[in-house]
Amino acid sequence: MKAPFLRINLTGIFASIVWLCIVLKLLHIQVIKGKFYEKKAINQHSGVIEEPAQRGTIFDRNYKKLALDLEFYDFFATPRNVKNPERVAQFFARVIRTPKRDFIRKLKSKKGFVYLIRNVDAVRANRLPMKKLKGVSRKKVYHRYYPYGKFAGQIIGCTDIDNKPLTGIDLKYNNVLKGTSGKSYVKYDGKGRIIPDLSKKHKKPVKGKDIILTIDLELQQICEDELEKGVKSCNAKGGTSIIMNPFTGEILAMASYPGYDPNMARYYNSEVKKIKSITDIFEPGSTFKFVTISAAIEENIKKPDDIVYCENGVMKVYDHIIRDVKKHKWLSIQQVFEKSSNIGTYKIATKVGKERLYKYARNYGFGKETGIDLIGEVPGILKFPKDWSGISLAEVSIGYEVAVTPIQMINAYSAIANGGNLMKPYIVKAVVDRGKIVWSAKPEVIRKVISKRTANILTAFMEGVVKRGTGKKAKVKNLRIAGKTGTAQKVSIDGKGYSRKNFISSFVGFFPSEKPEYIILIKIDSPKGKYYGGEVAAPLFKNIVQKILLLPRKNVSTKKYVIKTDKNSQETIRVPDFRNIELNDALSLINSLNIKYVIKGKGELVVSQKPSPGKNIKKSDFVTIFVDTLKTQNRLVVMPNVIGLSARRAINELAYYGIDFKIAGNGVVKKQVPVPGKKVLRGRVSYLDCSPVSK
Amino acid sequence: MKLDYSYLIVIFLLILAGFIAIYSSTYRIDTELVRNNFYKQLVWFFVGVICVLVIVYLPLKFFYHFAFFFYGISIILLALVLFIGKDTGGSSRWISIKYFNNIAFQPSEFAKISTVILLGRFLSSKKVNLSSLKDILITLTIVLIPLLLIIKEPDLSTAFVFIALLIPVLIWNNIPINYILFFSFLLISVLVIAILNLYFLIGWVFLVSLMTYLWQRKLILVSVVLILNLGVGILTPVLWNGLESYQKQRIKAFIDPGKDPKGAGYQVLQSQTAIGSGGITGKGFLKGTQTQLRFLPAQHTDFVFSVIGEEFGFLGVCSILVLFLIFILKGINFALSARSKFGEVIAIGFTSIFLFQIFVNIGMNVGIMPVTGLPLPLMSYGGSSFLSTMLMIGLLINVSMKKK
Repeated sequence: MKAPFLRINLTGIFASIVWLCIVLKLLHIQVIKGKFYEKKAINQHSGVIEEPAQRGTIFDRNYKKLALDLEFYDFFATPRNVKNPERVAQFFARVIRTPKRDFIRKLKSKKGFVYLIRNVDAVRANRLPMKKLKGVSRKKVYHRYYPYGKFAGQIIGCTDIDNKPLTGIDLKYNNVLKGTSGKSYVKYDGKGRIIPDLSKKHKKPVKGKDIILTIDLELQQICEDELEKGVKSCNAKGGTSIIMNPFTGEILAMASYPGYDPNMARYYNSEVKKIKSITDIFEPGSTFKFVTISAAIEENIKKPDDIVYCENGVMKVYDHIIRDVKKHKWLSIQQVFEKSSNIGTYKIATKVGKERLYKYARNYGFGKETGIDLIGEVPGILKFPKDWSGISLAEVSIGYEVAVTPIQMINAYSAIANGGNLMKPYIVKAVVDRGKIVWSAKPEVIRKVISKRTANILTAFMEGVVKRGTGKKAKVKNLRIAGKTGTAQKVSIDGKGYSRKNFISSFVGFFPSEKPEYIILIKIDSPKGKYYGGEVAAPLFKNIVQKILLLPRKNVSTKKYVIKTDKNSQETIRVPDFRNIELNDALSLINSLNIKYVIKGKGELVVSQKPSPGKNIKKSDFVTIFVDTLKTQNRLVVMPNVIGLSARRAINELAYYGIDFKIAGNGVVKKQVPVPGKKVLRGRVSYLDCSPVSK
Repeated sequence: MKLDYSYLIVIFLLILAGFIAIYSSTYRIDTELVRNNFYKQLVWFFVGVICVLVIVYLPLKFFYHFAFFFYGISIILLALVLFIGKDTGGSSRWISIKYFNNIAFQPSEFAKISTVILLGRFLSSKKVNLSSLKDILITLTIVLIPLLLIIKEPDLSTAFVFIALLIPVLIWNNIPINYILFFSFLLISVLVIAILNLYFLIGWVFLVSLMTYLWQRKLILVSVVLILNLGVGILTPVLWNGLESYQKQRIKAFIDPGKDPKGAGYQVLQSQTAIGSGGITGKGFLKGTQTQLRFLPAQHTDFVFSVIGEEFGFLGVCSILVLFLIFILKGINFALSARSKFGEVIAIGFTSIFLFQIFVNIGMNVGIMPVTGLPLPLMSYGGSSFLSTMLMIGLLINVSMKKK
C-alpha cells in the first residue's frame, strides 16, 4: 500500500514553503531595503581621521610673534598590543625623564586605549623610535604659545587644551587663523582595528593664515608696565589704557590691568581676560565736556572768547545743586574747558539745547559700538532727548547720565586730533597667507563730526588744559600736548546716587598736538587717596609719553614682512626667555628658532638659562637650560606682598599669581604666610590675617 | 544501474559556491591559521569524494546488516564525548584525535547517519506496523537515545535535527493520523505555556482530554493524554530554566535582535547588514566590505551564506537556493523511486536532515530563525559536517542506483 499523495509530498511541500519564506525575506532585505543596509554597512566600516592644521601666527605690526602654534605629539597605546611593556616604558622614561613605573602602569592597564603622555615637543618625540614601539601610536597636535606672555594677552586671546580659541583675536578671526584640517580616510574592521583606506586620497592639513595686528608690542609693553605701576601706586582697583593712531584708527596698544598670561589661561578667571576697553562702560565725567564745547563752537553759538558767569562755584538746577571744584566767577569758554567748570559747561549746554547736544554725542560715536574688530564690544548708554529729565541736560553736558566705553572716548578725541573725522578703530592690519599679504585693512572714516576749524580750536583748548589747566601734570618738556582730564564719581554700590569714595580718573591726550601721532587714553578705576584725573591719570600719561619718546622712531610698512624675518634669523638670534615655562614649551620654541641647546637637571620646568634672555647669540652657540622636577601645575612663583592691601585686593593679587588662599578676619591684610619674596608653588595655600582699618 | 548526473552537478556547484565563499572570507586575513582553512577544506573535499565513491560501490545490504553496529558505535562515541570531549564555549561536542594531527570531529554528525540507518532497518521489517503503540515506542527510543545524549552535551540544535528527521520518516511510514494529532497537541501545549500561562494550559488540556473522550471513550487513553499534555506543559518552563544562558540569549536575540546589538543580536544584525548591502547584484567577488573587514564572527562556517549574499547579491543567493531546492527535491524523488523500504527511509531521513539544516542555517543568516550552530550542508567550512554530508550523499546516490 502506497502512502496517500499528501503524505508523500509533505516534505516537498514543506521545502517549498520554507524556500518561499527565505526568498521573500531576501527580497525584503536585499531588494527593497538594499540601500538602507548599504548605507548601514558604509557607516559601520568607513571613517575619517582628522589631522589638525597649524593655526596661523599672530604678529604685531613689527612682525614679532605674539601667538604661534608649536608642534607637539600625543602618545597613546593599545595595551593589549604592546608586547613588551618594560622595554617601551624604558624608552619613554629615558626620553621624557619621568619614572618608568608610570608608563608601565599605563601599559599594563586593561583599557583598550591609554594616553601614555600628551604634549611632547617635536624634538623629544622624534627621539622615540616608533618602529620599535609596537602598539604605541602618536598623533601630532598643535598648541598655542605666547612668547611675550601677558603682553596683549587680552587682545590675542587664549585657547583651550584642544587648541580651540576661547577669546580675543584668536576667536574673532578663527576662520582666518584655523586653516583646514587634514583628512585621512580609514576603514574599521569587525574588531575595531583601523585600516587605511587607499581608495580615497589623503588630504593634507593646510596651515591657517597669519594675522598682523596694528598693535605695536613696544608700545603695548610700555602701556602695560606703566599702567601696572600707576594702578599700584594709587592702590586702584584696576586701569585701562589705549594708544591709537588718531589719523587711521589703528589701535597701537590696548591694555587693562590686572591682565593675564594666556600661556596659563586656565589659572585665571574670566574677568581678567575681558578686553575692558570695549566691554566695560563708565560715566566719563569731565572728559565728556568736549561734546558740549564742540557743539557750541561748531554751531557758532559761542566763540572761544565769549564769557560765561560761573555762579561762584554753586548753582541750583531744579532741585539739584551743581558745584565746581574751585569757585569761579567769569570765565571764557576756553577757561571753562581748561578749568573744567561744571557750571560753565552747563550754561553753554543750555544754549546748545538737548537735541543738538544729543546729536553731537551721537555723531562722536557715543551710544553705539565703534565697530572695532574685537569680540564683546558694548554700545554704552546715551538716552534719547525725549527720555531726558529736567536735570539731564546738565548731567549729560558734564559727562553723567551717559555711559561710554574707553574705546568710544579715545575714538571721539581722535576726531579732534585728526581734524574732525570720526574713524573706525581697527586692530587687524593685514592677513598673510604663506608670506603674501592677501588682505589689508584700510582706514575708514565713519563721518565728519566737526570742521577743521572747530577741531583746531578744541585742540588749542586741550593744549591749554595741559599748559595751565587741570592737566598740568601731563606736561612734557619741548612737546606740545593736548589733553583733557576727567574725574567721575562712580555710582555707589547700593545703586542710589553717587559714591563719595569711588571715582574713575581719566585722561585723554594726543601729541605732538601740531601734528598728532599718538593719542592715549588712561582710565584708573577707584584710586585711593588722590583721585582727580589730573593727579592720577595725567602723570601716568606723562610717563607713557616719555617712554615712547625714548623709542627709536620707526616707520614700518607691512611689505617688509617677508624680507625682514628671513634676514634676521640668519645672523644672530635674540635668546628668548625660557624661564618658568614648561620644558616642552621651551624645547618647541628652541626648535622653531633652530638654536642648539643643552639640558641640565631633570624635570619639567625650566628654572634658569644661560645666556640670559635678550642677549644675542650666534647660531653656532649653545643655550643651556636648567630644569627642575616639579609637577606641571606646580610652578614656582614669587609670593607678592599683600600686607596693607584690602582683603579683596589681596585676593585679586594672589589670584593673578595663581596662589590659593585662606583668609581670617576682614579689612586690611596685617600678616601673610609665606612672607613676601619667598618662592612658592603655584596652587599652594597662603594664609592671610586681616583686621579692620584702625582710624 | 543508472547514475543521476544532474544530481552530481548540483552537488558540485554547491560545493564550488562554498569554496568561493570560504576563500573570500579567509582571503587576506592576517593569521596563517585561518588562511590554512581553505586548504584544509580542500583536503576534506577529496576525502569526501573518496567516501562517496566507496559508499556508492558498496551494496546497500552492507549498511542494512551493520545498522546495529554503526548505531552502537555512535552511542558509545556520544557517551564518550561527555567525558573526554573538547570543551568549546561551554559545551563539549568534539572528540579530538591526538594521533591524527589533532583532528577533531563531532560524533553527533555520525549519530545522525547511523540513527537513520537503524530506523530504516527497523521500519523496513515486515512485522513492524506503526499503528501499534509498541512499534512507535521502539521508533521513538531509537531516536531518543542519541537525542538525549546530544542534549546533555548540550547541543540543542543538533538534537532538533533528530526530531526533524523523525517526523517525515513517521509520516512516510503511514503513522495513523490520530498519533500525529496526539503529537501536535503536545506541541501546542508547549506553545501555550510558553506564550500564555498555566491557566490557559489547564484549559487547553481539559479541552484536548474532552475531545479525546468524545472520540474514543477510553478512560485510559484520556488519562494518558491528560497527563502527557499537562506534564509537557509544566516541564517546558523547567527546561527553559535549565537552558544555558547563551542559549536563552540567542532565542531572545532572535525575537528582538535590536535589543542587544553588541551581544547575541550582533550576529543577526551583522548578517542581515552584509546580505542586505549586497543588493541585487552584489559587491563582487572579494569586494564585500562586511566580509573582508570581518564584521561577522563565523563567516566561513555558520554565516557562509551571508558572504554569498554580500558579494553576489540577490541573484547569487537565489541561484544557491534553486540549487538547494533541486538537491532536496531530487532526494525526495529518490525515496519515491527507491526499490526497498530501507532505501526509502534512508532517502527521506537524509533529505529531511538536509532540509532542516538548510532551513535553519539560511533562516538564521537572513534573520528568520534564531542563531544556532548548525552548518550549511555542502558549503560551510568544517571537516565533520562536510564528511557526514558526503556520507549521506553517497548513501542517497547508492539508494538511487541500487535495485532490490
